[in-house]
Amino acid sequence: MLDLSVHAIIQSIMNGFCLAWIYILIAAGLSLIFGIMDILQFAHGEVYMLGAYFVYYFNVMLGLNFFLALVFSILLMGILGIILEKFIFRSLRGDFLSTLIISLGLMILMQSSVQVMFGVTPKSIPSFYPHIADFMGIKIGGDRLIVVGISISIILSLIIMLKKTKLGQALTASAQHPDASRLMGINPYLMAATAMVVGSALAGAAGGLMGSVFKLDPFMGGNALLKGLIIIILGGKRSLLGVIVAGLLIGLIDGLIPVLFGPAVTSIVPLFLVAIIVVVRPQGFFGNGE
Amino acid sequence: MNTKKRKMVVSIMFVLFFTAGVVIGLPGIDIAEAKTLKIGTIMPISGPLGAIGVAWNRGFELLLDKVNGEGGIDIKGERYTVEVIMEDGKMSPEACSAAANKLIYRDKVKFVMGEVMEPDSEAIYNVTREAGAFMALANSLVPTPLGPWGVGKDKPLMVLVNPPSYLGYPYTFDFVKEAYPGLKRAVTTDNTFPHEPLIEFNSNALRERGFDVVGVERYDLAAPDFYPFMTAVLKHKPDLINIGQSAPLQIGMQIKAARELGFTGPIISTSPVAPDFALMGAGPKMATDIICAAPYAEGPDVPAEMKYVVDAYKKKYKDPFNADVLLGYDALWALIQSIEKAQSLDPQTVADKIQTLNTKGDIETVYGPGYFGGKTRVGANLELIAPYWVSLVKDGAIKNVKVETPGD
Repeated sequence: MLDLSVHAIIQSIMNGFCLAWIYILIAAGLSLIFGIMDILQFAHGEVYMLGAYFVYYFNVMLGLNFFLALVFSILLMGILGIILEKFIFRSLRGDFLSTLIISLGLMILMQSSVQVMFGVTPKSIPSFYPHIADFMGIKIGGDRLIVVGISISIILSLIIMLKKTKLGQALTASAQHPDASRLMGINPYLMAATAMVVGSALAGAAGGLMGSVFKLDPFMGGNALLKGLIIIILGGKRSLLGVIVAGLLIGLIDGLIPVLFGPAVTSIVPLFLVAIIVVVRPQGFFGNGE
Repeated sequence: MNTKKRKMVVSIMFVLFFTAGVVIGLPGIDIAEAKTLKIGTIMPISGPLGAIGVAWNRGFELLLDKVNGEGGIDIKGERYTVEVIMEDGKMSPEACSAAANKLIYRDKVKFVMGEVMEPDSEAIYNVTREAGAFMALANSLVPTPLGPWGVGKDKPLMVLVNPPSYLGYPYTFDFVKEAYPGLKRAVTTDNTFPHEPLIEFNSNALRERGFDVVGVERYDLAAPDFYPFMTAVLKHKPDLINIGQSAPLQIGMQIKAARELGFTGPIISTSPVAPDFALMGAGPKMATDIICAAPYAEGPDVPAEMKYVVDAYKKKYKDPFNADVLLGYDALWALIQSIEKAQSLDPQTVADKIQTLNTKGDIETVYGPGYFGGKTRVGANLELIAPYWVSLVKDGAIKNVKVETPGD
């Protein structure tokens, strides 16, 4: 198992790095929702799945350019976020169990709806850039490289929004000190709605980008949600830096471990890490001790 | 009762009797129950294998359209309409068992077909065996004698109606040997299901043809990205990659990953998955030198029945054609032909008749003339054997390159 060339190791690390940015997009959205609204949005994986299917619909069924399809999908998922917050989660704020159950129900509803609308047969979106990039023997699909570039751009935009805009700073304040931020006049409903919009849009972006390089099926959200949860636990509940670091770590594991030890070990390692972190540092790498 | 009420009761009874008399007496209205052959099917319609179950069910529907459209089947001079009661196995032995009980004891079927995975099929068989019903085994991932459970002399009322795919692998490897001389290093792959006997069979068949099997790699079915898996495959520096059992689009994704990571050699797909999916998943630029152990159903050289199924599918359904539709159509067709040839609805009589349908051509299949064989492998003629097709995807185009029917 350790009889690996340097080339294979570097290729594996590169594979993991590319995968990590999709995970980071998913986890960032989930972290934002969790941090502001204090709810575990189990249907977040299905929002990601819907994002992928809407890109499929616009790009493959309606013939739109892939990037335009992606933008439409992100916007639609943002609108879905507003609807979910206003009509479902707002009235249940503070009731963790009810929001958990509702989000599980939403998960089933979304999966079933996609099966009815698109069928159960997996789909694929034709590559929008079927070329191969070669960096001194390390090969990456051209479309995959562009997906990574877009993901990094989105995360950077999110960081700038959170740090440099009034809305972003209000969001950060709400996540860190909900009561104090309310006393300062920050509208909690607006913050919740913003978190859902941005979080769902991020999930939609992740799904659309992921769907362009992998296959789509109505059950693809489960794995995405699991990755998102693992990353939040490892990185820290309200920390975007934690999400990025943990996302890169999980990506590296998914890229390197199958090559070193096989697929069975790959699924165990992240869970093993979660178990250690929960015991040793329950707030995660960069969490604030809540 | 007063006079007015009595008159009303008499009037109502008169109307009822008159109506009944008209209905019974009118020519052409036959109130005797029409003869129906009921067959129960249990396939995974929901869950991760839903795509397979739905495709099989569509195959059943297409066959029913044809058979019943032609007036049904003839059993001892009486015409029978064929009715298929489709249940969802839900990839769960408990659900399969419940469905089998419902089909046999409530719906009164004597012929049950199912399922995809061995534990689910075994759950169905436990019910059909108790009831003396006939079980048409729809699929066997690791068929006997390779695997521990499946058709055999100890299960006389169970027949495999889907040709064991492993019997066709050697023809695929023979084609690769002829078409790509000089290749030596092969890597065999499969998912993490317990396919060890199939992997061993594959590896041995490759070795028999002069290949060195330099590695065996497995991938997680749930993993969305095949780059890590393909990197593990390519670390062995193969000349040839043999992809084992995979879902349709997964094959295309694996091929795409292999090509993007720089592999230029031939890739074999031994899953009975249509080559169209290799093309769809990998894209025309990367889908080249792909050898599939499945027919190109839209090729000009396919049997008329296969062409009929493809055309009928396209008229009836929106989704792209899936080779599993052929498997479903063929499995039900083989069962119905067996019942018609036995001229009986008794499961044991049908099972006995199947033992005699062991000459090529005794059973028609969408793949060509078939028969029931397996005596040398499982002790009795309990396996549907049909021609195995090999297709080649080259530079974005697909063609059929080989057809062989194994002997028993």
